[in-house]
Amino acid sequence: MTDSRWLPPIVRTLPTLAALGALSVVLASVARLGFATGLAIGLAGLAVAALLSVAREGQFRSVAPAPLLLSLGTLAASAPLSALAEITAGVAGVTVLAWIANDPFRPPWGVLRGALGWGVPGLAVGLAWVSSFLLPPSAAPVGVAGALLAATVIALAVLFAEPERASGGPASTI
Amino acid sequence: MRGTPAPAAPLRWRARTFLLVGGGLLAIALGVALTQPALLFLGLPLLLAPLGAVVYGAPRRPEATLTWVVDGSGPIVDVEGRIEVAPPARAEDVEVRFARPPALAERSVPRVRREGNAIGFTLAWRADEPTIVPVPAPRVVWSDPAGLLERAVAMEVPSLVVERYPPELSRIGTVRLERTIALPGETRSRRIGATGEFFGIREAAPSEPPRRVNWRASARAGRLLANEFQLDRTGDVLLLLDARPSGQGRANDARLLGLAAAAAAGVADGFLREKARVGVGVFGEFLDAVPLAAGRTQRLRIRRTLLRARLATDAGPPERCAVAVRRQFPPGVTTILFSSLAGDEGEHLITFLRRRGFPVIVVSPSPLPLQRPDALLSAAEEVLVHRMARLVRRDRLARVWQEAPVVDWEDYWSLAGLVDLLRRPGRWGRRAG
Repeated sequence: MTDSRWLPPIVRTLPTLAALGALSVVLASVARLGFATGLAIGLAGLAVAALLSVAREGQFRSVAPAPLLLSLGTLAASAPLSALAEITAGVAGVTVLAWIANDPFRPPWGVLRGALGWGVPGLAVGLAWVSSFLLPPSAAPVGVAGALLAATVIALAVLFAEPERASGGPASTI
Repeated sequence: MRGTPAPAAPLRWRARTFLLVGGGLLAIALGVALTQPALLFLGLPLLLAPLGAVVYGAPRRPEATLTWVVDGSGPIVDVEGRIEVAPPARAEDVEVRFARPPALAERSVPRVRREGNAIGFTLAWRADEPTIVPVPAPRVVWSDPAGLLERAVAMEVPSLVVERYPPELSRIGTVRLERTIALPGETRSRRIGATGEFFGIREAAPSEPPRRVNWRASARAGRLLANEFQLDRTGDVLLLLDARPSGQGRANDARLLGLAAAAAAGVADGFLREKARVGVGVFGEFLDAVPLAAGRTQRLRIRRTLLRARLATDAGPPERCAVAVRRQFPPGVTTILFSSLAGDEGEHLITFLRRRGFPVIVVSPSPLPLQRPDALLSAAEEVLVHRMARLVRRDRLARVWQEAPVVDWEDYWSLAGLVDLLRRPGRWGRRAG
């Protein structure tokens, strides 16, 4: 499907692409791979993902996040233990979701309409980061994080088994 | 009162969701294995992405109404449509995917416009040859902004058919057909039309051809007036399609059958417009027949039969076709046989039909324009092969001419030969029986 929008498809994704580029630069600068190598990996993943996202064939568009996740994963895996690297990786994950919502072949402002789609994970990332750095070190936060992770996995399993639970619509009682 | 509504289409996760969740799980697993917290932070939002899609909220039963029309003329096919999305679903969340009939080529990418809670679209296609083909319904799905969840939108789809046939067929109805029986059923023998004996003068319609306008009367009255004529319509015509495989290969045979179906639709349309009775038979292994009748309903019946005409896997014997035609149609009815005559079976069919009393006119879509250059042959050899194929076809048509008149249909956008042949009954060749 193509929209008769006045902006070319790739231009409409530029804000989120720029944010992802900036986050890749930050990750590359702290990664142990070296800045040049890290930057090359980050930008290559970004470029391939951007090109796939504007392909006419739907199957290419659906796998567009894969090269981006690969490059960000590589950079995050080689990052040192630091608060900056962790929050950058978390924000990068949230920005990937915002970039996906900014589909150039759908009506504009998808990133705002789909704010819940990246806002909820963003909130979770923020809480996790704050709790890991601001709370006193003890076994309790580990237990809380483990329980949260287990709950997420269970919720996902239920949703994948029965997507109808996600369905909205009018309330059954007035 | 509306009946029980159909059950809502199920919600489905798209492939992208599995990609994100898989990536998230992999990142978290690697983060734990490598004791790398940055990977955990990268994986967490990806793992939570489906929850975000769920929170967005999918409508239980998204519904929409589709209205669409086919426009354009000749090879140009424009489909204009509008999809009205019913609340609570919103047009921004609805995706439309179009399927193009294989017989048509794309002139430009589909144009989609969003107007309030409606989606307008324009599909620009091109028919490289005459065709009659249904337009597949667009797939309309609701999806969250990130495209992780989807649900098909319930929509009633009015049938839409692209019909493109040679323009000469639009005036084939003026041909006087042979009377099959003395009183051909409900067909009126006299009516007002475009040709025949002068009947009177009426107000001219905006689309009136200039030759039908009575210019003297118009000058006197100060407004456009057109002549009316009283004409006799008494004829019947049978359109018979040979849907048996020949030696041309399935793809070419299917294309030739498609051409024949398009031409048959044009001929039927032209005669039915003039209140003649038209019957159709499609013979593959067996005969699929629409008995002789007139009117709009008959047009729909014929169209439905032509749309479902498919190339047969096994060829039925020609005598079976002649016997079946004799059971369904009265002998003596003007019979237009559409056959590529690529094999000997086509010739035999003409013989058997004539023996059963059907005066046959053959319209033969030529397979020569469908021949593709062979990569193994040089240009000179290619020319030679083409000349030989042309000679073989000419020889075959000459043999068929001994049985029945043949229209060699090589320029697919013109059937002037058929109209000329029908207009001159003296040229019909041998009579049946």
